Amino acid sequence: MFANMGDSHEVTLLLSALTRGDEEAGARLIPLVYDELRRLAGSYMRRERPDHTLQATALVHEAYLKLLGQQSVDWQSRAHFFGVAAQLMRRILIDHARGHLRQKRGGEYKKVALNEAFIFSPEQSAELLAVDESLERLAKLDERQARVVELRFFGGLSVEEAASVLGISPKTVKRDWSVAKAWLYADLKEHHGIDAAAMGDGQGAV
Amino acid sequence: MGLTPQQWETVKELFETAVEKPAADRALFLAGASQDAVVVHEVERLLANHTEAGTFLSSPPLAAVAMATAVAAAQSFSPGDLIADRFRITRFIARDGMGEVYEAEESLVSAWHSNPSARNFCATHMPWIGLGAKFIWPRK
Repeated sequence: MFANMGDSHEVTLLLSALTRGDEEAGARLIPLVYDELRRLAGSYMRRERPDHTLQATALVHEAYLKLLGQQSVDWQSRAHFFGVAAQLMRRILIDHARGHLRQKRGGEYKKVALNEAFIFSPEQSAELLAVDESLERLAKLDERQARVVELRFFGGLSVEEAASVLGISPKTVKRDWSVAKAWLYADLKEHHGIDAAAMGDGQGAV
Repeated sequence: MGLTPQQWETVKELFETAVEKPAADRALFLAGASQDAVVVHEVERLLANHTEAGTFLSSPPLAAVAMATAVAAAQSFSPGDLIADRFRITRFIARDGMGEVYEAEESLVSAWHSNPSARNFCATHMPWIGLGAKFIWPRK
Protein backbone atom coordinates (compact mmCIF):
# COMPACT_ATOMS: atom_id res chain seq x y z
CA MET A 1 0.00 0.00 0.00
CA PHE A 2 1.66 3.17 -1.13
CA ALA A 3 0.56 6.73 -1.45
CA ASN A 4 -0.15 7.14 -5.11
CA MET A 5 1.83 9.52 -7.25
CA GLY A 6 -1.16 11.83 -7.40
CA ASP A 7 -1.06 12.28 -3.63
CA SER A 8 2.67 12.82 -3.65
CA HIS A 9 2.37 15.41 -6.40
CA GLU A 10 -0.48 17.11 -4.57
CA VAL A 11 1.60 17.26 -1.40
CA THR A 12 4.37 19.02 -3.29
CA LEU A 13 1.89 21.55 -4.67
CA LEU A 14 0.34 22.06 -1.25
CA LEU A 15 3.78 22.58 0.28
CA SER A 16 4.50 25.27 -2.27
CA ALA A 17 1.17 26.90 -1.50
CA LEU A 18 1.90 26.73 2.23
CA THR A 19 5.24 28.39 1.69
CA ARG A 20 3.35 31.25 0.06
CA GLY A 21 1.16 31.48 3.17
CA ASP A 22 -1.95 29.78 1.74
CA GLU A 23 -3.79 28.46 4.82
CA GLU A 24 -6.35 26.64 2.72
CA ALA A 25 -3.54 24.39 1.54
CA GLY A 26 -2.96 23.21 5.10
CA ALA A 27 -6.57 22.15 5.51
CA ARG A 28 -6.24 20.01 2.36
CA LEU A 29 -2.96 18.53 3.53
CA ILE A 30 -4.10 16.77 6.69
CA PRO A 31 -6.72 14.50 5.07
CA LEU A 32 -3.91 13.28 2.80
CA VAL A 33 -1.75 12.55 5.83
CA TYR A 34 -4.59 10.80 7.61
CA ASP A 35 -5.58 8.72 4.59
CA GLU A 36 -1.99 7.58 4.29
CA LEU A 37 -1.89 6.78 8.01
CA ARG A 38 -4.98 4.64 7.64
CA ARG A 39 -3.62 2.84 4.59
CA LEU A 40 -0.39 2.06 6.42
CA ALA A 41 -2.18 1.04 9.61
CA GLY A 42 -4.26 -1.41 7.61
CA SER A 43 -1.11 -2.81 6.09
CA TYR A 44 0.49 -3.20 9.54
CA MET A 45 -2.59 -5.02 10.80
CA ARG A 46 -2.41 -7.56 8.04
CA ARG A 47 1.21 -8.50 8.59
CA GLU A 48 2.21 -7.77 12.15
CA ARG A 49 1.28 -8.13 15.73
CA PRO A 50 -0.29 -4.91 16.90
CA ASP A 51 1.78 -2.80 19.26
CA HIS A 52 0.05 0.55 19.38
CA THR A 53 2.78 2.63 20.93
CA LEU A 54 5.59 1.56 18.63
CA GLN A 55 3.50 1.25 15.53
CA ALA A 56 1.66 4.53 15.88
CA THR A 57 4.96 6.38 16.09
CA ALA A 58 6.53 4.48 13.20
CA LEU A 59 3.35 4.96 11.23
CA VAL A 60 3.65 8.75 11.21
CA HIS A 61 7.19 8.64 9.88
CA GLU A 62 6.28 6.21 7.16
CA ALA A 63 3.26 8.28 6.16
CA TYR A 64 5.32 11.47 5.96
CA LEU A 65 8.03 9.79 3.93
CA LYS A 66 5.56 8.25 1.51
CA LEU A 67 3.68 11.51 1.08
CA LEU A 68 6.88 13.41 0.43
CA GLY A 69 7.75 10.47 -1.79
CA GLN A 70 10.36 10.72 -4.46
CA GLN A 71 9.70 14.39 -4.99
CA SER A 72 12.76 16.55 -4.57
CA VAL A 73 11.49 18.35 -1.49
CA ASP A 74 14.17 20.59 -0.06
CA TRP A 75 15.10 20.63 3.60
CA GLN A 76 13.24 23.84 4.36
CA SER A 77 10.02 22.69 2.72
CA ARG A 78 10.25 19.40 4.55
CA ALA A 79 10.71 21.15 7.92
CA HIS A 80 7.87 23.50 7.03
CA PHE A 81 5.66 20.55 6.19
CA PHE A 82 6.43 18.86 9.52
CA GLY A 83 5.73 22.04 11.46
CA VAL A 84 2.46 22.80 9.71
CA ALA A 85 1.29 19.18 9.90
CA ALA A 86 1.77 19.13 13.68
CA GLN A 87 -0.20 22.35 14.14
CA LEU A 88 -3.01 21.17 11.90
CA MET A 89 -3.21 17.74 13.49
CA ARG A 90 -3.53 19.37 16.88
CA ARG A 91 -6.25 21.74 15.72
CA ILE A 92 -8.26 19.05 13.95
CA LEU A 93 -8.06 16.56 16.81
CA ILE A 94 -9.04 19.18 19.37
CA ASP A 95 -11.92 20.43 17.20
CA HIS A 96 -13.10 16.88 16.85
CA ALA A 97 -12.82 16.09 20.56
CA ARG A 98 -14.69 19.30 21.44
CA GLY A 99 -17.41 18.58 18.88
CA HIS A 100 -17.72 15.03 20.09
CA LEU A 101 -18.24 16.10 23.69
CA ARG A 102 -20.76 18.73 22.61
CA GLN A 103 -22.68 16.07 20.69
CA LYS A 104 -22.64 13.76 23.71
CA ARG A 105 -24.21 16.54 25.77
CA GLY A 106 -27.01 16.84 23.23
CA GLY A 107 -25.67 19.90 21.46
CA GLU A 108 -25.18 20.44 17.80
CA TYR A 109 -22.15 18.69 16.36
CA LYS A 110 -20.16 20.96 14.12
CA LYS A 111 -18.62 18.75 11.48
CA VAL A 112 -14.86 18.83 11.23
CA ALA A 113 -12.51 17.22 8.75
CA LEU A 114 -11.96 13.46 9.21
CA ASN A 115 -14.94 13.12 11.51
CA GLU A 116 -16.14 9.99 9.80
CA ALA A 117 -13.12 8.07 10.92
CA PHE A 118 -12.66 9.11 14.52
CA ILE A 119 -14.15 7.07 17.27
CA PHE A 120 -13.51 8.88 20.54
CA SER A 121 -15.03 7.88 23.80
CA PRO A 122 -16.15 10.85 25.91
CA GLU A 123 -13.26 10.11 28.29
CA GLN A 124 -10.74 10.12 25.46
CA SER A 125 -12.10 13.40 24.10
CA ALA A 126 -11.93 14.95 27.56
CA GLU A 127 -8.35 13.72 28.04
CA LEU A 128 -7.24 15.14 24.71
CA LEU A 129 -8.80 18.50 25.53
CA ALA A 130 -7.12 18.40 28.94
CA VAL A 131 -3.71 17.86 27.31
CA ASP A 132 -4.41 20.78 24.98
CA GLU A 133 -5.33 23.05 27.88
CA SER A 134 -2.25 22.03 29.84
CA LEU A 135 -0.16 22.72 26.76
CA GLU A 136 -1.61 26.23 26.60
CA ARG A 137 -0.56 26.78 30.22
CA LEU A 138 2.92 25.43 29.48
CA ALA A 139 3.21 27.81 26.51
CA LYS A 140 2.83 30.75 28.91
CA LEU A 141 5.74 29.46 30.96
CA ASP A 142 7.92 28.15 28.13
CA GLU A 143 6.74 28.63 24.56
CA ARG A 144 9.51 26.57 23.00
CA GLN A 145 8.77 23.58 25.19
CA ALA A 146 5.10 23.74 24.24
CA ARG A 147 6.10 23.80 20.58
CA VAL A 148 8.35 20.77 21.09
CA VAL A 149 5.40 18.88 22.58
CA GLU A 150 3.15 19.93 19.72
CA LEU A 151 5.67 18.68 17.18
CA ARG A 152 6.44 15.43 18.95
CA PHE A 153 3.01 14.48 20.35
CA PHE A 154 0.55 15.90 17.83
CA GLY A 155 2.93 15.83 14.87
CA GLY A 156 4.65 12.53 15.74
CA LEU A 157 8.08 13.95 14.86
CA SER A 158 11.36 12.46 16.02
CA VAL A 159 13.80 14.46 18.14
CA GLU A 160 15.88 15.24 15.05
CA GLU A 161 12.89 16.33 12.98
CA ALA A 162 11.59 18.57 15.74
CA ALA A 163 15.07 20.07 16.07
CA SER A 164 15.17 20.85 12.35
CA VAL A 165 11.76 22.53 12.47
CA LEU A 166 12.71 24.71 15.43
CA GLY A 167 16.29 25.33 14.36
CA ILE A 168 17.71 24.10 17.67
CA SER A 169 19.93 21.16 18.62
CA PRO A 170 18.53 17.66 19.18
CA LYS A 171 19.99 17.81 22.68
CA THR A 172 17.88 20.87 23.47
CA VAL A 173 14.77 19.17 22.08
CA LYS A 174 15.46 16.13 24.27
CA ARG A 175 15.79 18.30 27.36
CA ASP A 176 12.68 20.34 26.56
CA TRP A 177 10.69 17.17 25.89
CA SER A 178 11.78 15.57 29.15
CA VAL A 179 10.94 18.62 31.29
CA ALA A 180 7.71 19.34 29.42
CA LYS A 181 6.41 15.79 29.80
CA ALA A 182 6.98 15.89 33.57
CA TRP A 183 5.42 19.36 33.80
CA LEU A 184 2.34 18.39 31.76
CA TYR A 185 1.92 15.14 33.63
CA ALA A 186 1.89 17.03 36.94
CA ASP A 187 -0.41 19.73 35.54
CA LEU A 188 -2.95 17.19 34.26
CA LYS A 189 -3.10 15.53 37.64
CA GLU A 190 -3.49 18.83 39.46
CA HIS A 191 -6.00 20.54 37.18
CA HIS A 192 -8.01 17.65 35.84
CA GLY A 193 -7.45 14.78 38.25
CA ILE A 194 -6.72 12.66 35.21
CA ASP A 195 -4.80 9.43 35.41
CA ALA A 196 -2.16 10.68 33.01
CA ALA A 197 -0.34 7.33 33.10
CA ALA A 198 -3.15 5.84 31.02
CA MET A 199 -2.55 8.34 28.24
CA GLY A 200 0.65 7.00 26.81
CA ASP A 201 -0.29 3.79 25.12
CA GLY A 202 -2.33 5.19 22.29
CA GLN A 203 -5.56 4.18 23.94
CA GLY A 204 -6.08 7.00 26.36
CA ALA A 205 -4.87 9.91 24.38
CA VAL A 206 -7.10 9.62 21.40
CA MET B 1 3.23 28.39 40.26
CA GLY B 2 4.79 31.86 40.29
CA LEU B 3 8.26 31.08 38.98
CA THR B 4 10.21 33.94 37.47
CA PRO B 5 11.82 33.34 34.06
CA GLN B 6 15.21 33.16 35.80
CA GLN B 7 13.94 30.58 38.30
CA TRP B 8 12.45 28.52 35.48
CA GLU B 9 15.78 28.51 33.61
CA THR B 10 17.49 27.30 36.79
CA VAL B 11 14.82 24.63 37.27
CA LYS B 12 15.46 23.28 33.77
CA GLU B 13 19.23 23.20 34.25
CA LEU B 14 19.01 21.46 37.63
CA PHE B 15 16.41 19.01 36.38
CA GLU B 16 18.60 18.02 33.44
CA THR B 17 21.51 17.23 35.76
CA ALA B 18 19.48 15.67 38.56
CA VAL B 19 17.51 13.34 36.30
CA GLU B 20 20.77 11.66 35.25
CA LYS B 21 21.68 10.90 38.87
CA PRO B 22 20.49 7.90 40.89
CA ALA B 23 17.25 8.73 42.73
CA ALA B 24 18.97 8.40 46.11
CA ASP B 25 21.54 11.07 45.25
CA ARG B 26 19.17 13.72 43.92
CA ALA B 27 18.11 15.35 47.19
CA LEU B 28 21.74 15.89 48.25
CA PHE B 29 22.59 17.27 44.82
CA LEU B 30 19.69 19.74 44.89
CA ALA B 31 20.45 20.88 48.42
CA GLY B 32 23.96 21.77 47.33
CA ALA B 33 22.99 23.24 43.97
CA SER B 34 20.44 25.88 44.98
CA GLN B 35 19.41 27.83 48.06
CA ASP B 36 16.12 28.83 46.42
CA ALA B 37 13.42 26.72 48.07
CA VAL B 38 10.93 27.46 45.26
CA VAL B 39 13.37 26.21 42.65
CA VAL B 40 14.28 23.10 44.62
CA HIS B 41 10.64 22.27 45.23
CA GLU B 42 9.78 22.63 41.55
CA VAL B 43 12.69 20.43 40.48
CA GLU B 44 11.66 17.79 43.02
CA ARG B 45 8.08 17.94 41.74
CA LEU B 46 9.22 17.51 38.13
CA LEU B 47 11.56 14.64 39.04
CA ALA B 48 8.77 12.77 40.83
CA ASN B 49 6.42 13.21 37.87
CA HIS B 50 9.13 12.35 35.36
CA THR B 51 9.47 8.94 37.00
CA GLU B 52 5.71 8.44 37.07
CA ALA B 53 5.10 9.65 33.53
CA GLY B 54 6.56 6.57 31.81
CA THR B 55 5.14 6.35 28.28
CA PHE B 56 2.89 9.40 28.73
CA LEU B 57 2.49 11.25 25.37
CA SER B 58 4.49 8.60 23.55
CA SER B 59 1.87 7.84 20.93
CA PRO B 60 0.77 10.49 18.39
CA PRO B 61 -3.04 10.63 18.68
CA LEU B 62 -3.82 10.87 14.97
CA ALA B 63 -1.77 7.75 14.25
CA ALA B 64 -3.32 6.02 17.25
CA VAL B 65 -6.75 6.78 15.81
CA ALA B 66 -5.67 5.40 12.44
CA MET B 67 -4.33 2.31 14.18
CA ALA B 68 -7.51 1.80 16.20
CA THR B 69 -9.55 2.12 13.00
CA ALA B 70 -7.36 -0.45 11.28
CA VAL B 71 -7.60 -2.84 14.23
CA ALA B 72 -11.39 -2.59 14.16
CA ALA B 73 -11.46 -3.11 10.39
CA ALA B 74 -9.11 -6.09 10.57
CA GLN B 75 -11.14 -8.07 13.09
CA SER B 76 -13.08 -11.04 11.80
CA PHE B 77 -15.93 -10.59 14.29
CA SER B 78 -17.69 -7.83 16.13
CA PRO B 79 -19.41 -7.98 19.54
CA GLY B 80 -22.80 -9.62 19.14
CA ASP B 81 -21.81 -11.89 16.25
CA LEU B 82 -23.05 -15.45 16.65
CA ILE B 83 -20.61 -18.19 15.66
CA ALA B 84 -21.79 -21.69 14.73
CA ASP B 85 -25.24 -20.81 16.16
CA ARG B 86 -23.73 -21.15 19.59
CA PHE B 87 -21.01 -18.70 20.58
CA ARG B 88 -21.93 -15.04 21.01
CA ILE B 89 -18.88 -12.74 20.69
CA THR B 90 -18.67 -10.32 23.61
CA ARG B 91 -15.33 -8.61 22.86
CA PHE B 92 -12.08 -8.77 20.93
CA ILE B 93 -9.11 -9.59 23.20
CA ALA B 94 -5.97 -9.75 21.06
CA ARG B 95 -4.32 -10.88 17.86
CA ASP B 96 -1.07 -12.74 17.38
CA GLY B 97 0.66 -14.75 14.69
CA MET B 98 -1.70 -17.67 15.22
CA GLY B 99 -5.00 -15.87 15.05
CA GLU B 100 -7.45 -13.68 16.92
CA VAL B 101 -8.72 -14.23 20.44
CA TYR B 102 -12.24 -13.21 21.39
CA GLU B 103 -14.26 -13.49 24.52
CA ALA B 104 -17.51 -15.25 23.82
CA GLU B 105 -20.40 -16.72 25.71
CA GLU B 106 -22.39 -19.74 24.77
CA SER B 107 -25.82 -18.60 23.74
CA LEU B 108 -27.30 -21.79 25.16
CA VAL B 109 -25.88 -20.82 28.52
CA SER B 110 -27.36 -17.36 28.11
CA ALA B 111 -30.73 -18.95 27.60
CA TRP B 112 -30.28 -20.93 30.78
CA HIS B 113 -29.39 -17.75 32.62
CA SER B 114 -32.54 -15.99 31.46
CA ASN B 115 -34.57 -18.67 33.23
CA PRO B 116 -34.65 -17.99 37.01
CA SER B 117 -34.81 -21.61 38.13
CA ALA B 118 -32.08 -22.58 35.68
CA ARG B 119 -30.03 -19.60 36.87
CA ASN B 120 -30.33 -20.73 40.50
CA PHE B 121 -29.33 -24.23 39.50
CA CYS B 122 -26.34 -22.93 37.60
CA ALA B 123 -25.28 -20.62 40.41
CA THR B 124 -25.31 -23.55 42.82
CA HIS B 125 -23.91 -26.35 40.72
CA MET B 126 -22.04 -24.73 37.80
CA PRO B 127 -20.60 -21.44 39.04
CA TRP B 128 -18.03 -21.34 36.26
CA ILE B 129 -20.69 -20.95 33.59
CA GLY B 130 -21.26 -17.45 32.35
CA LEU B 131 -17.79 -16.21 33.21
CA GLY B 132 -16.99 -15.79 29.53
CA ALA B 133 -14.90 -18.15 27.48
CA LYS B 134 -11.97 -17.38 25.25
CA PHE B 135 -12.70 -18.07 21.64
CA ILE B 136 -9.79 -18.50 19.24
CA TRP B 137 -10.21 -17.87 15.55
CA PRO B 138 -7.35 -19.06 13.30
CA ARG B 139 -5.53 -16.48 11.26
CA LYS B 140 -6.65 -16.24 7.65
